[in-house]
Amino acid sequence: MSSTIQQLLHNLHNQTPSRDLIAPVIKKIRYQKMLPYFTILGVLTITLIASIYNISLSAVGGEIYILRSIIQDQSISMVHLVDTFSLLQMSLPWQQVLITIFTAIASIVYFYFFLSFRKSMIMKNIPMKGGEHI
Amino acid sequence: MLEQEKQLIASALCGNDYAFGQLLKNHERRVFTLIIRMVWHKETAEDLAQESFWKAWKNLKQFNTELAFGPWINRIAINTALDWLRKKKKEFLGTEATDIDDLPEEHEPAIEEQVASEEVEAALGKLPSHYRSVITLHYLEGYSYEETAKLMKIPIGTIRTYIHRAKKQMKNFLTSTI
Repeated sequence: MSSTIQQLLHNLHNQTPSRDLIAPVIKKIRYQKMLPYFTILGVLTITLIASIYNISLSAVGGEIYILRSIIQDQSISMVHLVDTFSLLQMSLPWQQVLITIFTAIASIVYFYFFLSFRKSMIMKNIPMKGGEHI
Repeated sequence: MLEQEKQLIASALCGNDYAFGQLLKNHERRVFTLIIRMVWHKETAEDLAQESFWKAWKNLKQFNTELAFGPWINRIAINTALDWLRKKKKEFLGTEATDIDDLPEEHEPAIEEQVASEEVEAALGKLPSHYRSVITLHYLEGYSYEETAKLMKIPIGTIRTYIHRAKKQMKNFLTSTI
């Protein structure tokens, strides 16, 4: 039986990829949709923490004093560490609770969503930016 | 276009990523095959297919819902593969070819034996990337010479030359393996 190259090409079959090509793309789409919420949450957390710290200006002054003494003495003793810890204790209880809650939320968001997303994207080698011409 | 596909596109346009995933499933193998025939490297083809899917999602609002989804996603895949080939190889789409405008397609000699698909695939793989891309676009995807020339951004005469030479090389390879 005789065939032309054209006929032979038409008889070729579709090929199958060795991995799931769609799931990582869908994961990236979901992450992209949630990105504005992550950003808002992050900005809120940072703003709140910053505002809480601004309230206790004496704590900031104390930190600077300790840092200066560490630099001057060229040594870090247990006394310095205890002093730093005691400065954190100067915050009001409600401030400490808020700092703890927001830090916990930020940590969960970061470790669970961001790291798992990055891992999958790096593993599948998908470019992180889109919007190229089609 | 199938009614089910229309519904999936409508849902995807509303932001339903699950519907978009279902839509892609219908075209996954087709897109992958198209790209692998152009780049001839499995892992690269998989990466480029994923990149094409991502671009499709990003540009879904530009899609005309009156048209079929398949040719649209194929076009994205072709552009993605061609961009990759251009970046990868400076010599890709080189200008070494002399344009041949008067080659009659009908005079192609036949191969006098039954040839297996694997051998045809292997012969395709032996071609330089620009020949392979032209063959894929013209014969496998059904683009005309004009459309292929536009896609690859080279003159139509060069496309004819590439096809002529590619078929000659494939024929030589196939007759030597029979």
